Amino acid sequence: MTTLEEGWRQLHPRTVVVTVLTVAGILAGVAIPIIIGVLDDGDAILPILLIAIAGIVVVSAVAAFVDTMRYRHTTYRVTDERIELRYSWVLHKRRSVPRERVRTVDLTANPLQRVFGLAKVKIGTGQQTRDSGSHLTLDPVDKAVAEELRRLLLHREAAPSVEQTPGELAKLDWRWIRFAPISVTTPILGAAAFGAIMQVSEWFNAQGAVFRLVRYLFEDLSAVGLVGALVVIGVVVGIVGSLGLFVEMWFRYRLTREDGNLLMTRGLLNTRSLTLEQRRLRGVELVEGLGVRMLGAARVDVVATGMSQKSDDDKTDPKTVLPAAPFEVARRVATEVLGSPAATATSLVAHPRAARARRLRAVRRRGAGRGARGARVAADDRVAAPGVDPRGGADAGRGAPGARGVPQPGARPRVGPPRDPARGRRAADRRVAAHRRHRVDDHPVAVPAPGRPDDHPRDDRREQGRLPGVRHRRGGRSAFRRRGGAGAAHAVPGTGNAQG
Amino acid sequence: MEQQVRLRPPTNKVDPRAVRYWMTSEALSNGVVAIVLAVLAFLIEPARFWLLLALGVVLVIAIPYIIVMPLWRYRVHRWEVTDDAVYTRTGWLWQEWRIAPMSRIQTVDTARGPLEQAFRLSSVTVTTASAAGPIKIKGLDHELAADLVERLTEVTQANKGDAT
Repeated sequence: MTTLEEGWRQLHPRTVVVTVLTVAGILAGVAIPIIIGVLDDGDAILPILLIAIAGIVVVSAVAAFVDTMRYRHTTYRVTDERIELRYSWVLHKRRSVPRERVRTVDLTANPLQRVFGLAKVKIGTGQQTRDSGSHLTLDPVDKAVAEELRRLLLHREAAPSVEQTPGELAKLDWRWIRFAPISVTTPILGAAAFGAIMQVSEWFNAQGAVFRLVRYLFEDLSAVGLVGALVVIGVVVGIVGSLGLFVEMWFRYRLTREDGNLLMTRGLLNTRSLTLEQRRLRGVELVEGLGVRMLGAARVDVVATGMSQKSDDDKTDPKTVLPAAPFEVARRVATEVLGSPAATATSLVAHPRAARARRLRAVRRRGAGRGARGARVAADDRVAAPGVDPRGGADAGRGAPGARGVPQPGARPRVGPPRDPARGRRAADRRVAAHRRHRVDDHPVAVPAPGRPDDHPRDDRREQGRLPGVRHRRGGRSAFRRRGGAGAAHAVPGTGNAQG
Repeated sequence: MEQQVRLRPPTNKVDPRAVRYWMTSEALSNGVVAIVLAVLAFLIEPARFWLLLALGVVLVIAIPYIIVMPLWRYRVHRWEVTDDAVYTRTGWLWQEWRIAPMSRIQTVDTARGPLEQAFRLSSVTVTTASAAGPIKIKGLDHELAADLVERLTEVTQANKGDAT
């Protein structure tokens, strides 16, 4: 180990071992099918095997060298004021982040890293760029060090969140797994399975054999029956896959509050622990995808600057803090995450009835004969107009023991710009026109965080909702009303506050 | 026209060595293309005419570019750091002015590639929470860049909060 100046620390040296094993594993995975493919002619296996092993060794050695240099020339330090990261081999880089700016600390570990007791630390600030350098990443450090950094970086004196529920907000309920197959991942995984079979069989020049096998297995079926059988198989595979994915991602899921910050831990093989500073939380989203909505479920995302982009190496957004769960659970978690029952209880006012009626009319105009279905979609589409639902009160309070308290001063909400009613209508029209597709791609629905008096002329919007001469429709659409009461959601996630 | 109040350009020019750095860097990247074309022309007899033609086009475009662009760029590129903000003007044909208020700065980075090290240059990257991406000041003397980073970090530390 090179001598370090005061306070500077290095990454963990075992990173080299992990890198070599990873590279060698990938290469072996690539080499084996190639070898089998080449061996088709019945050649001697030894020379080919030797060549392959030599190749793997050489490439692994190069990887080991590069990673060693990376390890030796990367240092970081955490001072009272800032975190600094230096890298100086071929390219010289220095990165400095004031500790005040840190919003999230994300610890991830893949199975190999876990075996070696390592973890990758991603320290996030509010930047929006998507390039790889958008976080300060320590890849990897000792697990204990990572944990220590996580606590250190987001523990601030005078935490403003004394009123918040301590301890556990949510933990995995295995019954939630029933929502896992009802998502786009199921058909995607099913199709991917077929694709993989075709691809692999092509490598081995066995595509014809695969087709013959399928023919043989379903001899008695007609062409339509064959397609049907394949679709069923695909769906089954997709369901199994999405169940597996759910287990991998959400195993040992816990959402807790620690030092006033949100801490989410989860993962079976790849583990992740995300710490999000409560002060930086701008709101939460209750997201009801098409499928889970039909089962009365929703997931919860957080709204925070710097959390918008998907991380490259994960299947879900880091901003998802609750997987699809029964609506009441999602609602309770959303309320508790905000730390302010007021946000979903007292301060909610009705969805502007004018907008609702207008949409119904818009649908009538558009699709005569599409009647109830169109109307329901329009009513579901409650995201556009601002304003909130007073009936949410009863629901929000339920199942949220101890979550009551003063609205948390630190959570500064951002409310979107006031809507021009005409614009709202146009947007509504567009949505109605595209309603089916629209819902499939996880239409987001947000619960606003508690308002600051200076944020927005809320009263204006309330008034808007009570325009004289507009009647609230109460037909026999139970879904309509249930959604209105339970969903309650509007307000655009925190934008407009991030301009540099 | 001169009557109105205009935003004056930032005061500091980048280091004069940046001109040679840009020239070298462009010469290298264009040179690779030219060399590949030349080698192919030498090796592939039937396509020699077309490859040489392509090489000619590359040279005709690249040589003036390598000479003109850095000089032009040098005239355009300016930066300034005040107590309140970082100002930059960059580009050559298309120019961009950017201002990042100090109170919005998230991170401060420096980066020096091998070529920049050869010219003792350094570039400073200032990230904000803006979706427009970071501000980059390229072609600074590396010692000056180090001082600048020091100063920027001190000023940003003085600005408490999460800077969004």
